[in-house]
Amino acid sequence: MTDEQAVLRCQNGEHEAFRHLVERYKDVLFGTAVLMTGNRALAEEQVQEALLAAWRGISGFQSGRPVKPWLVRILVNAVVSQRRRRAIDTVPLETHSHADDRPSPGETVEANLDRQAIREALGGLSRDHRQVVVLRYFADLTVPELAEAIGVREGTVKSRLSRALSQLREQLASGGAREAYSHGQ
Amino acid sequence: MASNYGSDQEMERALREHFEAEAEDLRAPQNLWQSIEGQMDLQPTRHPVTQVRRKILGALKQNWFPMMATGGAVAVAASAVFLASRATQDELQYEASYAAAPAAPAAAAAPAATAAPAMAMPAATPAERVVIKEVPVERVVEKTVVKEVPVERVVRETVVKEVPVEKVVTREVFVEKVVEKVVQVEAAPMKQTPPPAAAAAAPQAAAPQRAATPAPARPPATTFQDYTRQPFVATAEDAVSTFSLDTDRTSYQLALSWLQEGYEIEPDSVRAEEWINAFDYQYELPPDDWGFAITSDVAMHPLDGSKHLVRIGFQAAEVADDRPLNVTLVLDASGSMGDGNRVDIARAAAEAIRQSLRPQDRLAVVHFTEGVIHELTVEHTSPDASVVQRSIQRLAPHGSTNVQAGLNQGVRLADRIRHERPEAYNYVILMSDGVANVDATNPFAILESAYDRNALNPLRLITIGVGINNYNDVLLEQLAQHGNGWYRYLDNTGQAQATFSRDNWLALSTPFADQTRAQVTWDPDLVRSWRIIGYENRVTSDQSFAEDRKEFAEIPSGAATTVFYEIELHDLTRTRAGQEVTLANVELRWVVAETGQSRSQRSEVRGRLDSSLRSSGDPLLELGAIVALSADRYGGLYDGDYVAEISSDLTELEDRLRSLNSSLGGLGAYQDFRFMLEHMAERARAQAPPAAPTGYSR
Repeated sequence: MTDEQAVLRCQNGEHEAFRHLVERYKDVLFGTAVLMTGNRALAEEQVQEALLAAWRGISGFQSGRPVKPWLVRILVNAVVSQRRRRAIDTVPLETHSHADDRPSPGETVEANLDRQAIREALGGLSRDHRQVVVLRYFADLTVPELAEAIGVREGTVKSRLSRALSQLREQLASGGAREAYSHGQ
Repeated sequence: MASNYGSDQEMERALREHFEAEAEDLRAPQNLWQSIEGQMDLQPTRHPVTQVRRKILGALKQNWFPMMATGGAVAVAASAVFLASRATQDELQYEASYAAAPAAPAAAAAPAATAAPAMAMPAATPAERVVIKEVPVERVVEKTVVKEVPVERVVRETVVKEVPVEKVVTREVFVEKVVEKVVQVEAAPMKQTPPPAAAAAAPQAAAPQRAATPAPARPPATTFQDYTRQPFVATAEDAVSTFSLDTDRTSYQLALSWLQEGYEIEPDSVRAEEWINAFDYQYELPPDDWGFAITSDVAMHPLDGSKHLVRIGFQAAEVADDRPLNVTLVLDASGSMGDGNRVDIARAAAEAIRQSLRPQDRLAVVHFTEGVIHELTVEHTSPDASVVQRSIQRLAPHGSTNVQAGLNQGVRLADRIRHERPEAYNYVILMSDGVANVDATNPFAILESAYDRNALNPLRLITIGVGINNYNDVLLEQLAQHGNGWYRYLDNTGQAQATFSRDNWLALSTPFADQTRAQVTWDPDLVRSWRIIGYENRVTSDQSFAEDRKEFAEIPSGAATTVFYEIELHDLTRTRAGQEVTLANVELRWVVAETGQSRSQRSEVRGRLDSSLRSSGDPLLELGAIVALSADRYGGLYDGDYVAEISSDLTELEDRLRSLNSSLGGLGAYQDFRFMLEHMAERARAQAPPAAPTGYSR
């Protein structure tokens, strides 16, 4: 079933078709929410909320348009409105269970250190910058899709991305995060 | 540095690789679709529906419709309206409880409710008292109603007045979730033994320590609560067990003291989890201070060949945290404290705490009887100040008891210093025999008045119980549980000094995790049914797991919590005896005390099905199992019909414990518990019907 067929069948009220969309996009939505909020429990709630909102609104969705950016946009709205309600803001560092901080089999210690360093550098970004980085490189949205998802102009997305990238590079080059990590070992 | 992120392109590539590697850990929960589908039916696609109704209907569909459909819904809703009016709007909380005893089985059966409509909530009668509790209004109100709308109006408008009957029911979902918890507190009437006259008539009421046969009397005028024990739950109906951790051990300490004083152990007073957690199982510490070490063990059930026993241990990291402390001592100076040596114990504990504090800490003292004794009140100052020492020394009993007045004053002082020194942790320590007899004497009323609105830098309420006769266990336990703190019982001055020695105090007063709760999800393909041992008043609804709630446990640095489950496997599973299998997933959630951030950690329950307690090679595991099962069985002695089985189980456990002497005989805790179990088994045998076959070998 293509996304387009699934959407049409959803519009006829078929649960199974919606399930198809959920199964296809749930990981990218959940991951995006976790990376944006830093809180798995909250992320789960937001993804549920977003998917239910999508189901409610699917009758108005124009079939043939790409589904993922639409879902991500609903999710971003859910995250932002929940953030307003709860005034909770945490950084992605908190999202990882214990095991994640150790190299997995086959992963070198060095690679693991890199992951940790990048995680910490991401945690150091502002919320807006982190958001564009996550949507661009994790959720894999194009710049126009991203602009629509967060409701800003494409130029703004580009400049945020570019500033976020240079800030990440700076932070990783300084190695500050790395030292803090080794210290904890 | 391993990689070079010299250009934007390289950085982009590194980010994509990074997220690809992270994706593994960022997979959506398996059951996401199920949770969504449950709410989709009720999602009209044509006209918008309020958030409230959607959530309520979703929850309804999952759990509560069959129960409520059987009747009583309207009555419950009406009572809810009545009591909801008590709640204040800024607290965004309300309470619900039923005082009618028949509600208890319904609450205990709650997890299995979908499949057991016959055990539905009885229709409310005029005798029932409904107090709705702690439903975060945010969930109820959200987008539809302005936040400031008082709770009673929400209830009336969305439920009673405007919505058809079906939706009235839905409103109850949230009420019920919490009722489930509070019912257990309120359902059984608190038992007050006859006053001392009756006890004095008992032949051995004043028996010496470690009397050979304790008097059949319980200590006079004591108050505790019989929490109905948890039933077996079929995984087909509910495979998820959610509970708050617990580091209290008071129920065990009380029982030991009673026995040493020549009294029997009161079955109602046994909270199995506090017995289990009184022992040190020597879990390994986690490798760093991020979270917990979660361990699990599976063994064949020592009493029942058709079942298995599972132990899960949660060991908190030991963290050094030199944030200063603001401590407020609230000392009960009422007449009942004049009994025996309880004033001496309280004074010794207060003085030990004072001496354990560091120069950067601040200490205040409040004495209360029927009101606060203002001339002895000392506001926060250096713990070395002579005025503090003098105030502690002058603790003397007189008058009646108004715990509320004392706590109010303590909380006022604590709140003030909290604003002056926001970087410090805040402890309010109540020392009392719990016999409140003026003004509010109910733990919830007392807490309500001491309600703490600052979630990020909470006041932590520690309750210290002293005394044996005339002792109110319920009040002190519930105050600590709902006050973000913990509860200890002190039997003598030596114990008071040891408990609050500098080293102990430093560990106890360094919070590691707040609002700590666990969720165990059994694999329904392998496990047929499960039953949690103890934790009766810590079990909580599966939905609440995602919420950071104050009544979930505060875990100090380095503390461990252990839980035991009895489980029954499917026949097919049991054929896999020689293999190692994963029976359940465990998730732990908590709020980091230092930063207020929420964290989550996962693990699995794994083990071989053919291993036995003995073959595990860990005598402490076997000891824990014996403690858990004996506390559990003994706690059921008052429930009635199973005295013969209980007696036989306790006798078998007693034999098992004896056989551990060679490995654990050197431990004081082992010897104490052996002394206790011998008396418990003896009492059960004495109570067992003489003609019944006991099934034990002697």
